Amino acid sequence: MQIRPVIEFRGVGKRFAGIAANEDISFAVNQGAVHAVVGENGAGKTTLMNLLAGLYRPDAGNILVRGEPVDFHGPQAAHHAGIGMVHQHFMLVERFTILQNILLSCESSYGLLPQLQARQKVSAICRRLGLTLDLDATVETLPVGLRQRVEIVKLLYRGGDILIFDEPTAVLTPGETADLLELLRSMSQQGKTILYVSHKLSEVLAIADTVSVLRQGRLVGTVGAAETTQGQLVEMMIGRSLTPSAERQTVTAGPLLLALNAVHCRDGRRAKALQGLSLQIRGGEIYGVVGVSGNGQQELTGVVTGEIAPTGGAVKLAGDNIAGMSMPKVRNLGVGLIPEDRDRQGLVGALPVWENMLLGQLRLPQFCHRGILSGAACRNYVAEQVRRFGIRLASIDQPVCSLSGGNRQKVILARELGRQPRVLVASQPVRGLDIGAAEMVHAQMMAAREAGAAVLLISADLDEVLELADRVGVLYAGRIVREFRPGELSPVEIGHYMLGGGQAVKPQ
Amino acid sequence: MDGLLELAASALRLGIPVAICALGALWSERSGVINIGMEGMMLTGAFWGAAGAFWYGPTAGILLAVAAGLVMALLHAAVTVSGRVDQIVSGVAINILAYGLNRFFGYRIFNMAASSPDVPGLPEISAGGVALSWIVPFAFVLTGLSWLVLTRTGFGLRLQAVGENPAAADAAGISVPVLRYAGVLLGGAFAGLAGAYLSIEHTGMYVEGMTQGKGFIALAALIVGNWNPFGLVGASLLFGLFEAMSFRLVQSQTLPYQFVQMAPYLLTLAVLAGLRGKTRAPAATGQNWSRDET
Ligand SMILES: Nc1ncnc2c1ncn2[C@@H]1O[C@H](COP(=O)(O)OP(=O)(O)O)[C@@H](O)[C@H]1O
Ligand SMILES: [Mg+2]
Repeated sequence: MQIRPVIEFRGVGKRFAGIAANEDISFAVNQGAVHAVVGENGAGKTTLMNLLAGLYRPDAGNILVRGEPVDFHGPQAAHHAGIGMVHQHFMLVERFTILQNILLSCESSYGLLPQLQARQKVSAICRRLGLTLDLDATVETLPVGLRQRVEIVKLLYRGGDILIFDEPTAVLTPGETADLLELLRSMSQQGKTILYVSHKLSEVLAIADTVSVLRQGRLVGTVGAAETTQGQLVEMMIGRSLTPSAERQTVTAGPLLLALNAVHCRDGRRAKALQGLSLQIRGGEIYGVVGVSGNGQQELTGVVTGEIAPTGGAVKLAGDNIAGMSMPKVRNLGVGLIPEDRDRQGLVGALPVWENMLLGQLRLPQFCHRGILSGAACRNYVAEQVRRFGIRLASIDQPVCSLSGGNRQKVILARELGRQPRVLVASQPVRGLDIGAAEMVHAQMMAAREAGAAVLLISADLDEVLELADRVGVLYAGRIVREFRPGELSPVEIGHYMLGGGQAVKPQ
Repeated sequence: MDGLLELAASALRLGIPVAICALGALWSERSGVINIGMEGMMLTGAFWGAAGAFWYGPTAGILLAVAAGLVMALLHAAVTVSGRVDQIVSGVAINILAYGLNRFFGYRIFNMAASSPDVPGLPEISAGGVALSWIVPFAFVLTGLSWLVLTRTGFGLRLQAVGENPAAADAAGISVPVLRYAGVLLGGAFAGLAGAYLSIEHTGMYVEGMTQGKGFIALAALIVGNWNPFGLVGASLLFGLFEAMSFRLVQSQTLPYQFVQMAPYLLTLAVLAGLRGKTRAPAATGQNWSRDET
């Protein structure tokens, strides 16, 4: 029996404002296979899938479905060809019920809606997949895992047999991820063809039959999942092997740069959030904070950067109390911030890259003379930073929101590190980034450490903290309850402190 | 008893134009387009309603008013949906434009800037000693129909989706612009009808500025009614009741009438302030949309 390709990309290309998001991509997907598409952020995976799903039209090459060239004028045309996509950002109307969402995208009638038939059909699909969904629940009340199920049911309701999943596990917990992979397996056994986009290689190798790797918009290669390894895929994705985590430079501890003494503060709902938190960080030191989220992480960032005025205690930057100072003042004294939510707190999405890179610094004499900006100086500086940090973009005038997540984070990093801060606060700095971008962010934080900055790293990822930090503090109920050096405690012991075991300790 | 009945009828007469206008605003906002030009569209409807009734009788007047509302709405839709101009700015411009156009055509048609001659109305329905316009029961039919179409049909569901999450609607293969045009045009038709009621049925002539901010009160009723047809009609009638009561107070001359006439508007403000955070607009209303492919 010969396996026939159900989809074929032939020399497909797509440009956005001059930049090639996809270029000359050719590969075939077999009927009934799980075909993974991997690549770093910005490699062009989503663009390629949007082309197949009819959201965009290719500028070059063509796409064949079941041997026939297709030219979709919109998502509906792709639906008719049996192609459906679960987008990275779900396409659901939050205030509609599950049933309304399904009716919306699956029923073509403009008149009275066939509610009853729809209900029966959805129930049948759910039974086949072994799902339970309350069709009258409003989508906004559902956890993300269930929302994703709704998207899947939508595809099947329309009768799709080629299903595209764009980074489906990015938002899921480990348990939900396992369930999803199980579901994909069973759908593939029922004869559906699945395109699985991800940059999490362990999942990809667990589920896929074939893997196509994209890099900078081009296809690097297509390999059988059984004939490859994670290491090989990483190499294909980033074009080199991963540098084994850079040898740690010994840095002689510098002066005490950041000291918090018995800091108290309240959160937005006026509850006590920090309750006598104390910690000290010297120059050339990375201090990692671990803890279950909601134990004061956001408030810790807030009091150090000036966003929140503490109700008690002292925050000292190189000996001077900065508690209660405004954010711009604190920044000018040399505190940099990589915020937890980069799009809401770190960037102004609609503004161009160069303005974002200079936010908060436009009044510095090198950029501004008597209140007038010097365009050339600004642009030269930004262009230099873009080169240094390897930010991939078409132009520094492009709105920053059109960059990929990794590149947006690099813009923030370039801005914050460009001012050579004495204290750098990094909150979840690599959340949602792929390997290459995360590696780069970590390397830059190490460089800041070597340059003598005090780095406060707050992260939900224990492995990240243990790898980077010189010292670690466990945050529980608004206090550092235990300090240790990586290696001194086992993960189990750390977990014990994170859940409130043990007594508060005085830092040295 | 008679007094109460008359008060209720008076509340209906005063509340119904607000209700019709609010239903129109509902269609527009549910599709994602704020229309603060409702006031101007209603005023345009009032003018052309009077003109049509003057020339050909009340039915023609109503049809002409609806057509005039549609034309103004088409302008708003073209500017905001196709041109992606800020919806508030466009709405303000429509209000100013309506005022100027009415004045211009007032000179041309009636040789008067600020009013029209008396025009004939529809025959009235009278029950239990009070007389009401046919448009009153018709407005209630429109309310039920609006609810039915909005919540039970594919058209209504699509229109709501476009106002809640246009990107999701687009991904489902729905044309966002087409549905937004539909929403805004429906809004204009309702505003025209509300205006026709005012000039042809309520006053019997067009008078400059006769809408007295009812188009804005309708937007408040939309919020008070939480973007639900029945809720907003209830809120509109409540406003009508406030106004009817204030008229009675004015007649009794217990307070300076300026203060009494302010009362319905102040009460509306108070209700709005009390509801702060308790009602919720369609998520994407006010936001122009385009699929960002370059
Ligand atoms: N709508 C768009 N407008 C402009 N540029 C875009 C658009 N969509 C994607 N890009 C650019 O195309 C490149 C590929 O993006 P994308 O396909 O989203 O990558 P991936 O999904 O692999 O992270 C990126 O450089 C991105 O900035
Ligand atoms: Mg993507």
